[in-house]
Amino acid sequence: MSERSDEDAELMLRVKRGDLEAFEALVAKYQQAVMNLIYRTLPDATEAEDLAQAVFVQVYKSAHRYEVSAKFTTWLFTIARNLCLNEIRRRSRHPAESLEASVGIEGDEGVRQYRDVKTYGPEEVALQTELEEKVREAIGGLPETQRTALLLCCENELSYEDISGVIGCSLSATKSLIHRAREALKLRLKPYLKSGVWAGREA
Amino acid sequence: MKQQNDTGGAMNQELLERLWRGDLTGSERARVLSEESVRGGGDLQGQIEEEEALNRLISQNPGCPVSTNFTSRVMEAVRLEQARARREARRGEKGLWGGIGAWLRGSWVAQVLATGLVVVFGVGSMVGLRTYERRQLARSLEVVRDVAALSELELLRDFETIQQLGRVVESSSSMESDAALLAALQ
Repeated sequence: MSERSDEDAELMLRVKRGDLEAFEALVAKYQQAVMNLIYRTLPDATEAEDLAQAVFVQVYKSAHRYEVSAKFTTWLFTIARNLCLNEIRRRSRHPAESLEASVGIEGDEGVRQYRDVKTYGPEEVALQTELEEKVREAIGGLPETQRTALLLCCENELSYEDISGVIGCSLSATKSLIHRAREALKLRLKPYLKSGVWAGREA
Repeated sequence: MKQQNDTGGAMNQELLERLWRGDLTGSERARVLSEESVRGGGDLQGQIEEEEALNRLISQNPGCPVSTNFTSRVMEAVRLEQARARREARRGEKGLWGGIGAWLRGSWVAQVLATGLVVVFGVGSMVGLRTYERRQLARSLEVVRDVAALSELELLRDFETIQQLGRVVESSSSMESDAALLAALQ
């Protein structure tokens, strides 16, 4: 983890000196993680991608302020979270639903989410889709701070200290957020946890 | 800890936090379970399995795939941003004030010079104001001096008569003027 962060810091220092290749490497490395974090908050692929792009542009614009003392991932996910929150605030002020969003839900959204569709039969695919939908709903139903803390912990493997840096609260409060998020998910996904469907798919 | 209470008290906080992150290795897991069985605690295995199942659900739930041209789109946006910043910088440098601003930002000599100019202007203004006040005072003193130099009031007693005599002399021509002179004397 520290090797990775050293590497990121090195790349970021090069970006600070105007090296676009270093920036491209950082984008390639973290695009999926940023995209996933945003997509869990704003579940529309097109909008999430636009916002992810804005996150990286913001990273580039703020590169001159980057200090090696700050871990790159903490800095990156803080920017991503702030832009997400801004977008949520903007939407609450102008609650107009975009055309792209509705097309996404009814149109290609389902297709986007299928993985390895050819590997499984129609019954398994249907089951998998249902599970994915339930998990997505359950995660999406969490309060923003709990969801972000949980995803940074489970998907992006940030340390608890780094997560508390992104969320902007104490270490104990961060752990409490993750704990509450997990308890809520366990409650909502109880049948799926017990059925072992996912374990079966793993095998 | 709250977490310990919520999970039945069987799991300690460190173990729980490592489980959340999926950091628990197979051998560690086996060791913890054997220790727990010796102690005869609660359903630790069930709790560990539940936490692990939840980890699987979260990590295997697909996120949103990023489009293949995402990086190139970001790089394009960054290049546009660079061009915009350059344009703005150039626009800022154009014009008298922009030029002065850029010059001031660019060199410490310019900053010292500008500070010196401001100080000179300030001191000059103060000196000018003092000089103006002194001149005003001198003028006032002159007026007072003139008033002090006027004749005594007794000499001004026949002022009107003398004035009228002057008018009579200016328009003297005939009998009328003699009468007028007489009237004035009276």
